Amino acid sequence: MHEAIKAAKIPTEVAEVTMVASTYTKLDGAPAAAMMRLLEVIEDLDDTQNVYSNFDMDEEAVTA
Amino acid sequence: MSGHSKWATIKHKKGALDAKRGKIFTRLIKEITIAAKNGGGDPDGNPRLRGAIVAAKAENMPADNIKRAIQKGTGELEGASYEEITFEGYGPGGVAVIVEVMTDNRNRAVSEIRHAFSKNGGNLGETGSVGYMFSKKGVIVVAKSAVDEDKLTEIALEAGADDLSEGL
Repeated sequence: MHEAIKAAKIPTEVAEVTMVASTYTKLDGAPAAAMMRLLEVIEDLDDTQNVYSNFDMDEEAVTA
Repeated sequence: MSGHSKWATIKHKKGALDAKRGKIFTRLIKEITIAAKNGGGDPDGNPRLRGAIVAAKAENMPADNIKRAIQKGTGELEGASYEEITFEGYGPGGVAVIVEVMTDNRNRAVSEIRHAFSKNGGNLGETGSVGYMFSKKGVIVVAKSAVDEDKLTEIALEAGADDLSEGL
């Protein structure tokens, strides 16, 4: 797939293997903030290689 | 524009990871080491190692470091032996979380991950508790401005893509 897109001379921003969830859970307010904190703490651990979740939130809340 | 999209999550995740630049090399090296250990030190016959090397080069990792990481994996060089563990758990609001860990100390990793979940309103679940909700897929992101949508759809379908979705 990546080859096909490259062959068409389209620049790709990201190409990776990841875990895609079948459904996403949208949070806002306090639970969303708590969820982000959890992801940050886990990512901060030295042993952590990858973190995946089915967490979703509004872009506005990220910047707020 | 509404951010109602899984890309918002992915972008956030990437941003948070990128902020920890000091850890990136460690992670890349571990990935190379374990890929070489499992599939051999020849990138031509080991797609995972090939991918890991591409990722390391993208971060400008020196070739020497890459070579050493491979040799550690194949056993030519002494080094810590890493073990891969996948943790599954729930975050606040019932969000499913999967954590892939590579560690040289399983007990420490388990206790750290469990602690991280319990301190932040989540809990570590059994293996298989959330894994069924996820599937491993390759994701390729292309700038919207870089291509005509019809053209991209055509390419994606021809190459056998599962899905083509519009992000932000």
